[in-house]
Amino acid sequence: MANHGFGFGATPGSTDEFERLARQYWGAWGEALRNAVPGAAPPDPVRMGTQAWQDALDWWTRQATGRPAYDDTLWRFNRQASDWYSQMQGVAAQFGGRDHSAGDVVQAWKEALGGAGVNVFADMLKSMAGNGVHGAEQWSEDVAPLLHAWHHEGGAWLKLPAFGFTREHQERAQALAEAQLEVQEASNAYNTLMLKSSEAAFSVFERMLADREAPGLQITSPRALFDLWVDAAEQAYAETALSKEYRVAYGNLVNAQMKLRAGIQKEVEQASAQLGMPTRSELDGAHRKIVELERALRKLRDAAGPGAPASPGAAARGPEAKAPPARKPKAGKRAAKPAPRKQAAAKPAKKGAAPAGEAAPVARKPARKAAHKPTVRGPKSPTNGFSMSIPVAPLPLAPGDDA
Amino acid sequence: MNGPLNITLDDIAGEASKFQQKLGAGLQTLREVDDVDFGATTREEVWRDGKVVLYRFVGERKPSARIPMLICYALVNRPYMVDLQSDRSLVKGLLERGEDVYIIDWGYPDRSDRFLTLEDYIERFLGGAIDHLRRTHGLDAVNLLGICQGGAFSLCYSALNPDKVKNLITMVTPVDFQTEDNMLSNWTQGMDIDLMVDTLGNVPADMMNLCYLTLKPWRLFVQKYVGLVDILDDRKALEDFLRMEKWIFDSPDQAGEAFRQFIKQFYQGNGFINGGITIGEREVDLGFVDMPVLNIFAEQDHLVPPDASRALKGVVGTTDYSELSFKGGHIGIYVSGRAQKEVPSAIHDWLARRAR
Repeated sequence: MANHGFGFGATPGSTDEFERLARQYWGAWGEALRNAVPGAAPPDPVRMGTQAWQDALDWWTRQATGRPAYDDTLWRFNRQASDWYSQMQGVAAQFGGRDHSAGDVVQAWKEALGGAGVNVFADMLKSMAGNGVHGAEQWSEDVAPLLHAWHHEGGAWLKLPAFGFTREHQERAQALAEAQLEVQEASNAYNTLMLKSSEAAFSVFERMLADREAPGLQITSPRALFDLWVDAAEQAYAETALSKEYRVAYGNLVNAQMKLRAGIQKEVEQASAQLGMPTRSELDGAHRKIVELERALRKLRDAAGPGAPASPGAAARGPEAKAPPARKPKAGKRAAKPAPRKQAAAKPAKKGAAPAGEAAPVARKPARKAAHKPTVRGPKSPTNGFSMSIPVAPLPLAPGDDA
Repeated sequence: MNGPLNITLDDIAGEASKFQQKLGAGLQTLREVDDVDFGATTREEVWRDGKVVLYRFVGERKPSARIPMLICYALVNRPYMVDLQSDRSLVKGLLERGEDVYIIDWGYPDRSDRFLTLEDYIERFLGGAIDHLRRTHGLDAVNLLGICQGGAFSLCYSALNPDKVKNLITMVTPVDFQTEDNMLSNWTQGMDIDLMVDTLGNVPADMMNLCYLTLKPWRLFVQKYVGLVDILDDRKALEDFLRMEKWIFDSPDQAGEAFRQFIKQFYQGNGFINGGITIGEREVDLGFVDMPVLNIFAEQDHLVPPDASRALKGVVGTTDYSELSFKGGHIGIYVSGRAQKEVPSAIHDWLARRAR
């Protein structure tokens, strides 16, 4: 069935040919449906129609793509329109002309998606990975074969001569294995939460459908049914994603993935170092030094004030730099840090108030709550702020001075 | 017939038939669509520091405003959203009203930018751009328009350098990062950001994209693409869609240290409200923001909930504080048709009343 007629004898990309073939399929599908037995299990023509729809979209996407700027968008369209929407079409077709309930529709939708226990949210989130969209989980999956190979070959490390680093190898391999387990556990916990959310989405969908049972409110197209499902799914997802439970599960998952990734990167770094290749740590070290040198230089330049040479050599060509005048606060403006604010009602600001030049002196707002110091994990990064170990360069010598 | 569905086989066939017509027309439309580009307004580079560039927008006539306006966008997306296309350009609207508009383009960080901090972005780059404008215009202070994270940066800069900012406008800017409806904030609370940055270095753009899409995964990744079929026979609408797609996925990586500081101090520490934001060695106190402030936020913003922005009123030092609530979303506030009518004039009129 797949691709029968599409492209067969047709001019590639011909819109007339596409329409003719599509009409042929839909005509046959519609005829078969009209002859189907109401209330019976979904007839094959429904599945045929769904398949025809997917085949049509696949064919269309192949014809439409070819310009790299649009290909990703068109493939996303293909995936969503052919998967989710075509399944909803199939569900809608089952209830044409017969009495049913909101629960019947939801059950049919569940079955279309995979039956009882389907984790529609986890499946959908997984399907999002692609060009321009790549999470930590995808990275973990990408390196899984490498990890497997390492575990498989792990025994070989034990046969290496005992130069002292075998033990460290074993410890790192063990840590890597533990990290992988942690990712698995965190992923399971996250998926369990997503399963709960999926179930909630079906419940919300059923409630929304039940609200549409009155005449005049009924849904009259598969597209409208699909949009209602999206409303229900987003509502259930939002309730979950805003919860403390999700915060914990998501945090654990991301942290576990990062720990695993850090472990793998460490192995790659070890191997690179042993092969005499520059490592990421070395490059980062170099970049850190450059940034800190730039900062130190700017501090020196700013301290020298306006007219200071842009580079140390410029002083030899120009007049000796003078120290900048001390800065004073502007008259009439705030001269000191505002006093601690109290929990008093502030004077409300007026909309469209007079320009700042005419405004009364600043009224202070109530004091903020006691500062919450964020938890610092482990030693502070040496790159937060300036390194105090960089020596301050001496001022450049004026022309004629001895060194 | 009883039940929530009243869909006949003819209805299904009819809808499918419309789909197939759209698809058929789409093949032709896609051939006609030009390679979409962005940026409706001519701009010229006037200042640069490394990858960071300050551009001046060139309108059809010379600006009448005496005080230039610098737009400070977020790091997480490209800034041309404010000048996406000729009929969706906040910049164009401002230029038409005589404003002298500049924008700071942060560029695309790479591995060598891994150790840039918030101080670099706020004092070095933003501060450098502002100092350039002050010098070239012969002014003590300029107007600053900060958008989203760029608004948070603008608030920090204004608090640390109040004499250099004449008027401050914040658009869809988070101030209280821990309102109950802030999904993004909820997700960050359990994350070990030190581990993340120490592992990743710079935070990849692809990861950021996934994060934003998963705020509303069904609408942004499923329904949106199903809806594409509706415009396959409309060349202009299709171009607009593709242009927006280009922007959504054209995201820069995030410099590691700046990302670490931003998440820890703003999202996890909620520093504007609780204190604890330090830029370099200086603590930020929004009580020092004593210049006029216009705070614009979007009522249906799922990225920066309105309450996150409204909180500015309670912490900022100025008595000349104004709010503008816009009916729309986080992106709609720049690109929707309603936004073109309302936002540039609101900003211009507010500034005009304070032009001295």
